[in-house]
Amino acid sequence: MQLEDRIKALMRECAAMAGATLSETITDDLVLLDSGLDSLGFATLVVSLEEELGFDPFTMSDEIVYPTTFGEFVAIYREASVSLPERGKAS
Amino acid sequence: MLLLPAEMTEEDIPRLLELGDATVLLTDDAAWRDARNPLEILRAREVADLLRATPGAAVPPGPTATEWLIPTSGTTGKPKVVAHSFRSLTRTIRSDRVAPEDLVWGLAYGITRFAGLQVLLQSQLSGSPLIVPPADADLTSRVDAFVSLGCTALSATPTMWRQILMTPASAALDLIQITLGGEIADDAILRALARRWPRARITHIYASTEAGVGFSVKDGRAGFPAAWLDHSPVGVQLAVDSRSALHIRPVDADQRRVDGSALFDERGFLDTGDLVRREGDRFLFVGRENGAINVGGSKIQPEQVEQALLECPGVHLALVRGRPSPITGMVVEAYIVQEASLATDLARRKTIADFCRQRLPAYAVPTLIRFVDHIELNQAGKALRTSAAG
Repeated sequence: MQLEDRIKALMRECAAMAGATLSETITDDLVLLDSGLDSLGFATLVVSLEEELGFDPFTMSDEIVYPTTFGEFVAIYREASVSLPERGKAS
Repeated sequence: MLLLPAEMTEEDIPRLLELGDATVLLTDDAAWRDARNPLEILRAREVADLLRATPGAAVPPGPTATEWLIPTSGTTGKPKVVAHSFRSLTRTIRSDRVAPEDLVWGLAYGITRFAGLQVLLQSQLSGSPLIVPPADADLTSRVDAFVSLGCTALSATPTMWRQILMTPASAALDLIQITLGGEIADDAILRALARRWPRARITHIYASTEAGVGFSVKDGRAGFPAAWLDHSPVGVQLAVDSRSALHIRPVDADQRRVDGSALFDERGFLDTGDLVRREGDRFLFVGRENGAINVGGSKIQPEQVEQALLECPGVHLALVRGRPSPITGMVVEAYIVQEASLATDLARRKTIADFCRQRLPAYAVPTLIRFVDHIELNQAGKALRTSAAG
């Protein structure tokens, strides 16, 4: 999945920028807070994703659910991307 | 009694000890040594061992008007020290009624910070148990401890609450009291918590080391009712000045700044330095007047980050702003004019981030770095914070 790959790539980039060690393998079950990124790391990831994808799903909805796993994180972005006009869509 | 938070640096501690006129230092740090201060040093472990070895040796507390000296988190790197009396510290704690039996508090804060002290005092004065995880435990470990020991009441910052919601172990937490403080509590986190724990009472508290506890909001909405300017909540009066800054006058407030500067004006009001905006029947908090960026409860001045950036080789101009974040409330964003380089953007950003990390706390390192051709300057030659070209 292109979106999932982009998210993984940015996670690695954010970890590298923060000097943090990310888990070797990123699977759907990976608990985000065990991945090597802390709150600040996630804040950075969300900002980087907004810059790259053009949207921030956490501010698009009043009913935000905070994801626990990597799979849930990707799902939030995927759901948000399909509700956008063409420009922001990710496949 | 001067409380020294564990994260205080070696530069700050001697100055604080002097400010507080300390004569005895009680520490759990076996390696503590500072030749400059003629202090008697007591190791916590030795004291504990002594008390255990000689039961009855403990002297029952007599009436003592202890002043609690608490360093503020400070935005300019030099913490101020605020002296509270027991009365001002416990002003809003109801100890006259017994708490429900199922109320078990968990300590998510450091114990030396104002917020942590409030949880300690609230639980102990109302007779509720308090779960105290090891001081160096991370949030996930703390949540594990809370779950295994039956925590039902928790006070934490909005950023910590977002993290708790992201922690799988929190699914087993059964909360009846949720308290937020230390950062702006937005509607998003309040609603997320209400959905996750529909049985819980949700309270967000406006407090600071200097002001003490100002007021608490229990209606589940961000900000506070505009009506409170005329019909103030119990124990405090509120006012908003022409700069949109909130002023508060807590009843029975006798705290003071140790450096002697005035906390309250002649009418007894304290300028909180927090800006508010009226929206319908509410006032919402919109940030610090001095422009401090609150990243997950830790505050940093944009100017401090700019100074660090300007020391980075090749950086000509830097402009730092706060950017709203659904994870930490705000994050630090930087616009940089840098001399041309063959390195990739990513490599340039990493170099700058590494440089900042050596000079600033982690939360102050810009999470977004943009290279621009120019930054608008005002007449005084200072970067205009309201706009960054690029």
